[in-house]
Amino acid sequence: MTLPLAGVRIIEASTVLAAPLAASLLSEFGAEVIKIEEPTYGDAVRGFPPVVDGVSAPFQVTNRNKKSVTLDLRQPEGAALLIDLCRDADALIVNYRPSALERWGITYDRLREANPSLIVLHLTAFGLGGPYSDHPGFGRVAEAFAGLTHITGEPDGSPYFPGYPVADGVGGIYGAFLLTIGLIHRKATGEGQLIDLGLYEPILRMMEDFVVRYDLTGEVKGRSGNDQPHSCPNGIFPTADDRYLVLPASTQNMWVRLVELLDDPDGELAQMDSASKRVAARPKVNAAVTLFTSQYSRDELIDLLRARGIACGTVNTVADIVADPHIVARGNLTRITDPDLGELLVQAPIGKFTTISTTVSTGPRLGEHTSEVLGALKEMTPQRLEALREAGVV
Amino acid sequence: MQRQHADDDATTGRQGPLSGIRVLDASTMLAAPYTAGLLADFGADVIKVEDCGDGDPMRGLSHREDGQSLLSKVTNRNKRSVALNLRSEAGRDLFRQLASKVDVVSTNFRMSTLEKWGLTYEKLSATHPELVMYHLSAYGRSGPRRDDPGFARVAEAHSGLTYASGEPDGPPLFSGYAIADGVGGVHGAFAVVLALYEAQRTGQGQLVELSLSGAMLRLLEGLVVSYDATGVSPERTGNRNNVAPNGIYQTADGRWIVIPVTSPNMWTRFCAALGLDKLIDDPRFRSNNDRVQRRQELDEIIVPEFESRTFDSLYELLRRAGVAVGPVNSMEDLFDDAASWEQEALIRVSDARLGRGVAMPGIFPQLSATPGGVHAVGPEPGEHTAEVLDELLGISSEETESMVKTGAVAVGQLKSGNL
Repeated sequence: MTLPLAGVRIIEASTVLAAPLAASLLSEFGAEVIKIEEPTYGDAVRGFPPVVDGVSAPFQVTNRNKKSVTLDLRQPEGAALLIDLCRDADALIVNYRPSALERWGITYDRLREANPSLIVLHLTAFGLGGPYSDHPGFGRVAEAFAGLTHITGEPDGSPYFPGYPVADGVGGIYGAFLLTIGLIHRKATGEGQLIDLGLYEPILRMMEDFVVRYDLTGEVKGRSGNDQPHSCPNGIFPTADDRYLVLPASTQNMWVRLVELLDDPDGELAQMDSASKRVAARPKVNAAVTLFTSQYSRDELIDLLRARGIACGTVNTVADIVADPHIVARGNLTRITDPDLGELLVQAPIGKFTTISTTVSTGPRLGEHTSEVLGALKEMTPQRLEALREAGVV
Repeated sequence: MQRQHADDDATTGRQGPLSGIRVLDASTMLAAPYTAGLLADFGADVIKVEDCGDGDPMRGLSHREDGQSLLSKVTNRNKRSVALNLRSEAGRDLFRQLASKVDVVSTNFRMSTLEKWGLTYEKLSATHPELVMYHLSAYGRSGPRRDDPGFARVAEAHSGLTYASGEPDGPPLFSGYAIADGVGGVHGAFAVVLALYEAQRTGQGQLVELSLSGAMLRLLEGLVVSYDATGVSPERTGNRNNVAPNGIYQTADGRWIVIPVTSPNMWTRFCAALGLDKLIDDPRFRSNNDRVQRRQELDEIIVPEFESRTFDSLYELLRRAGVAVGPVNSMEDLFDDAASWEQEALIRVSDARLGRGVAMPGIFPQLSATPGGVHAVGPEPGEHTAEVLDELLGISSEETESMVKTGAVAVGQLKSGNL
């Protein structure tokens, strides 16, 4: 088993969730990630709850496998050190606003001059061009900008965020995908490049039917609660034991199997033999399914439906997940040791490869690797490092 | 203003860092076809293998125009379509031959189906060790649920996202789009290019397997570690999460605004912009952790500031102060925003069958050295059967014609528009 990104060094000068996730995904496949943090507070995620013994649990996951180096990029010496670090690196992941980087003198031109084969992933809220380029934004701004928030929630209620800032997650994975494409291209040509990604873009790209449908029909998709626009039945249904069941019986075959379980004295439901007929009769279909699910406990329903090859599932809490036999059998969770918090349960890398292995350790303390990493730079002496520390650059 | 993007390229012109990579996309519905679509965005030659009858069932799920699926125009853009009957030995034999000529095979058939058809990684890679085979499932190839069917919504609920979405006193809520399909699609693309990078390095292909529920769980990394650290399972909190202030607030003119004050600097700028300087050093609200603890107290101070301003004035005020802020866009809002088209967040690709340009998301992002491109909308099922069998396997059009008669392959149009 090999780590395909072994020998790849990534400098990550980025904060919060999305860009650090991109770097941590790459680290799981062997990349060495050196995280550059602001010397006083470090990455803002270090303040995200739960904070146990002064250590943020979310930080430890998102920044697992990384080294932490503190540099004040606002000081010219700090910016120059970042560029020096990039000379011996394969990639730079950065998520500061374009105007901030410009002000600090950290431009792609300067980076390319220092290292022509460097791959720079610049992940910002809105991307590097266009009127909003310099607007700050986080995952929630990106989700709402890309249209996801508007369509989430009940028809008569306010817009909703999903239970997790998905734009950050999707942006992080998308960034890892792009950086790997950059590595493939560099292997073939030796050429580095600037990859410019806006956080809202993967969300917009992902909702593939969203644009085309509006364009054709002029119909502005609104909120529809848990009903799905193209399929029925497909929703969250109550069970006899006051729990919930996810039932997306959205293909014709599954519907045929489900109808046999429903109360359908006149055969009216059985005659609804296309998704469009069922969508048109949604209240009737949902009522029949609800009547059925309310008669059984959640676990009975799952057995009943799985035996018939009908897709269904539980609405897991994180406590359910940690106890789930399938999650355990798949090795989806793993324990890592953290010097401050002891053992931490975290997600294992996902995607199983036959010949690629993965690696997971905890997130670093702020500046834990400053001396180690900067000390390896040419022309760095202990005296200079001490001077930088006194000046607050590191 | 609205560019005819596809017209910039010749209709056959594949460009991008993955040009030269050939992918056999034997997958259905949303997530796995999206993976292959992303690879095609960046130049891969993607051949979609579809069932001879009505093709990918996804074609029946979305809005249709003139009997054609609009969703397929987007998900399958840049791809060619070959219709094979994998339930016949002749069809499976053609599949194996095609697999021997490609770099990547992508599929989401159930494990038991792949075994029954003799299309497992072991079989396909026996004579083709460089092959990267990608397999997507709901729950993974192992574990007690390996053959359970499941779609995105099941995976989302399984991973904990659904439970955590909605109001504390209400039922769990799906997000407005089947997030797991998107997440699985992007994660799959990452996994495939990682394996391609390894193959480029060592000449060795491999099997890459991903589950929708695994991809979702990996994404929700903060939930697991928080539960582990505190023993408290995160409950539904509506629009309030572990950052404060952070939410969707209504403005004086009834519009919605998103304001996530995620960093210490942002908090300072936020207070200054709203004339609430006294809050900056208020010990009750010093750290994000403090603000989360006293969210209600804080909301009582800040919400009136939002309710007394129009969206436009609040947006400009906060934006000028460097505070992250944004609108809750509908599709109409996005289409009306000139920047969407100028930045090519939205593009139009011409479609000869529909006789017009089809609007869709552009290529994200623009790579400076190797931009991708969109050269065609998604094909009809079997539109390229004859072309691909000839190009890859040297099968003549007469032979293809005779296989159409035996039902091993199909060419051209959909048989029926009714699914």
